[in-house]
Amino acid sequence: MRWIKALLGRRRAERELDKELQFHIEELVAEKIARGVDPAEARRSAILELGGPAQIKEDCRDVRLLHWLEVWLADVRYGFRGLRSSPAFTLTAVLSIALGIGANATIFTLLHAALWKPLPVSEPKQLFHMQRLSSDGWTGEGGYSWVLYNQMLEAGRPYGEVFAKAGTAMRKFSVDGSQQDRAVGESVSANFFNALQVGPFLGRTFEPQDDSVLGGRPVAVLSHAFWQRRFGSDPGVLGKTVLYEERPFTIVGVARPGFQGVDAESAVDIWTTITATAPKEWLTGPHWNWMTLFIRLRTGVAPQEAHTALDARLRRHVTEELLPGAGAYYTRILQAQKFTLRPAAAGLATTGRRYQKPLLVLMGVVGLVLLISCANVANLVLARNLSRQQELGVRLALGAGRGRIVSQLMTESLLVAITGAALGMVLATWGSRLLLGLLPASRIPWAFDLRPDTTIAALGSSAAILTALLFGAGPALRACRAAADRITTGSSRVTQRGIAGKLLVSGQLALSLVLAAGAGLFLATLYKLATTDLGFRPERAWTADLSYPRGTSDDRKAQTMREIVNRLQARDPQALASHTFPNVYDHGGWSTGIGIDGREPAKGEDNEVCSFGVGARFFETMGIPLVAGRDFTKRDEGDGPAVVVVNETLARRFFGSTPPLGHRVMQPQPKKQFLAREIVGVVRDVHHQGLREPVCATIYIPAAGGTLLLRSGLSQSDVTEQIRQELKQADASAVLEQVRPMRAAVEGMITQERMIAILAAAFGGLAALLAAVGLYGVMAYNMARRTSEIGIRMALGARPGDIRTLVLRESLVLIGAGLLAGLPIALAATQLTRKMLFGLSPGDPTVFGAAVLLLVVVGVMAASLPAWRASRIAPAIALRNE
Amino acid sequence: MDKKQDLLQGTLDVLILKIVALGPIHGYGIAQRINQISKEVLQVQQGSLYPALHRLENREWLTAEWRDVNGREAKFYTLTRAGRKQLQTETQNWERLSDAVSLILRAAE
Repeated sequence: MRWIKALLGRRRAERELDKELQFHIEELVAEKIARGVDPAEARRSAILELGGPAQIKEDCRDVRLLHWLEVWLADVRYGFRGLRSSPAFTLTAVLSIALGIGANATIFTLLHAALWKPLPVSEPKQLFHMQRLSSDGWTGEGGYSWVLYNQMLEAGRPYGEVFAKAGTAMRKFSVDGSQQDRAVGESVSANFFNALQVGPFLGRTFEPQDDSVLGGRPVAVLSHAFWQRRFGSDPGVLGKTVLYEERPFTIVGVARPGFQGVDAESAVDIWTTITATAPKEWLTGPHWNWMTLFIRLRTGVAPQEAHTALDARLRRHVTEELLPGAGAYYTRILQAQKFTLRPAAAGLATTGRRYQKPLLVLMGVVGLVLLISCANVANLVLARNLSRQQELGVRLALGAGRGRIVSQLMTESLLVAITGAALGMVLATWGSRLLLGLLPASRIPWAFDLRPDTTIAALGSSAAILTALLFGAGPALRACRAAADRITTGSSRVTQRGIAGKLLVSGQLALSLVLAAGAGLFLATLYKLATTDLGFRPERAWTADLSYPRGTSDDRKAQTMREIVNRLQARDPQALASHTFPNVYDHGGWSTGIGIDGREPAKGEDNEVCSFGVGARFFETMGIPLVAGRDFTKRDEGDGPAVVVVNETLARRFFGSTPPLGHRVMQPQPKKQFLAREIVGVVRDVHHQGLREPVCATIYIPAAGGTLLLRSGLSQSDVTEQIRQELKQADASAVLEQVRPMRAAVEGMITQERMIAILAAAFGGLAALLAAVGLYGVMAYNMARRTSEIGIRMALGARPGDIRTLVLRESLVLIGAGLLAGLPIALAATQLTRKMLFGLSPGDPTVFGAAVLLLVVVGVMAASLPAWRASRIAPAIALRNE
Repeated sequence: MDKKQDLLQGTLDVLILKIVALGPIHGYGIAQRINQISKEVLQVQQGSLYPALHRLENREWLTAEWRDVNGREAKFYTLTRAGRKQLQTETQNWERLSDAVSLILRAAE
């Protein structure tokens, strides 16, 4: 653009001005000398007369600056005038761009907040997450024991500070014991705040003495936000004692504002030390691996050096303390584990890393949507510039430079793009919140920081400039050339414009096919997941979590569970109640090694199975069909003979075709003993670990306590009320934490797929709509241009039907060309989604066929209006038009 | 009062256009010409000549090229089509204005 050129050409202009002034002075001096003035005096007076070159140069600079400002303002004014005079064009163009940029900014905002935004601590680049990964990546991330943490801390000393955090969860919290509350609590090593370099806002953070294996000090640090929210910013909070997990803790400080922990997705309210919160046995042995470790490297330390030392220390720990006495299964896991230092400037990013792949795929999707909107706007601009060719031609003829005209047209495009981008950014702040709503509800409320920051703003403005160039530059140059042609030849090359528009529309259709096929694959995946037989009936089934006061004995908990199950069944004979530990659709049970029929598991033998502890009538309650044998009864729960129910996978693996009923499973007990349990039932396989995981060989053992299960046709609030009432009768000290429909747990497993399917379908639909608008525009324009031709055809005897066929045939050529071009792109692009699909491959012919059909239908619909209109042209009027 | 008059604001532009209209000429030459033509009554503040030239060049009323003068390079200005049109308009404006002013002056006598 001209004003940019003016800005860039500054240095050359300065040089030329120097030369010009020099010439002036030389001439003046020469003239004075010719008149007989002394040479030295001549030079002095010449410079005096000129008024000082520095001053002149300054004035010229002002002129230039003022000039480009003026030109630019004139362009902006001209642009605004032009846009105001055609509101329909402006609105369509701005909205297209706003949707395109808005979709991009939405996905980017979430990606940024979940994955990339640096923690609000100094030098976040020095932070590394110490990962213990099993060979299958993310799913097998191991924790660290307190013993191991201390070993790593020592080993890491020369390179930096190793610090730990654990157990971020909703915790019981109460200020004076009267009102039970929940707060997000996290336990950390005492050097947590110092290593992160997060200072106190009030009081102090933790100090080394707060950690002690003998129990630590019961002190707590509050987050600034929690202190404001819960304590009304009361500075008197220091020294106050609160009940945290039903134990007294003294508040010693409030952390610096803005700091909410090392995971961007959750805002921690209260920190305690690990030693003060964890049970003593967790702090002494190497087998409780539950902590997450980080290291802040010292300035100048290469991560590689630290990695080598820490990796060696971890291996020593594994060889010396874990491998001796480990079973075959655990040995395999330990040996496959890899240690890595993951850069953690953005913190732990738990959810961000889990959703990275789908979010990146969606980023690609919205990128395509933006391209399609740009193509659409480019088409609009082409048509618009064409209608202005007369005006542009006149201005060229009057001596306006081509650069000038291109600059004006581009300024107009830039105005559209900037307005669209601004609107898009507003849409994005709203859209990213909506997107967050599609994520599964987490146990801790999401606390992603979705406020736009400089990165997002930079993205928005560069997107604006990029889109303006994409949709504005081509049409502007073309308009200029066409206008110039018009001057020389008296007519414009309209046909060329037709080709450009057709190419754009075909391109749009090609990209739309990529999106439609992608959306189809995701929708089919979702459908397959949602309709796969889980092995149980989640409908009308509810799970209820109970909690008990600290120190409640297991016997008492078992008693309460028996009592409430009895009460619920007595209250409603239609209802079924049971219990399970762990919950049936969360983690997939404990892993345990078993033996069969008196034979204890041999060392190194793969005999790991999943194990659930369940109550009487569990299978009936869950709707898990029995293949053979019977369900558990109350007697199994009590002191009856030791029994077990196995699933089909286990039966197949350990018994082949022999019926397993009556055989015995040897279940490991503490102190290396085995308990023989008789198999009394075989049940259908249940996808306890999620639909994508293979079914685990599973044993179900009668046990007490756990999560309450209820099958009842009542509504959630009625079920909740019923359980609450009965629980009060059964055990007044127990608290009902939450009641969830089983369906929600099942749906929770496919939220990621649903989110992608919904968004891909929405964006695919948007793309198809944009392509349809583009096709309509091009066909309508072409028909308007060919009015006289069609008039002649009709005058020569063509019927309206023939004309419709003519138009539709041309449209179909466009559609076909676009789809043909799009097919290989779509086939290649969808390969990237292979891992995200379930039950079908990326090139699924049905999905591709449906996508092609959909776009053909949409395209023909878009073309039928111009076709119909063309068939109604009256020949006489058409000819008179010319 | 000094015999040499300062140029009326804005008239410098039209004088420059007029002089350049007579043929390609460099900055020093323009200053000399204004002095000669106006029989040395009008003295161009040489300092304001160059900003004015740049302004006119920016508005694309003048174009410039470097030419050789006795072995030295000088920047020669020429009128563009737009500049010629501008000169016409400005001249008409000027005539209208001076007519109006003399009319008023005569009427006031």
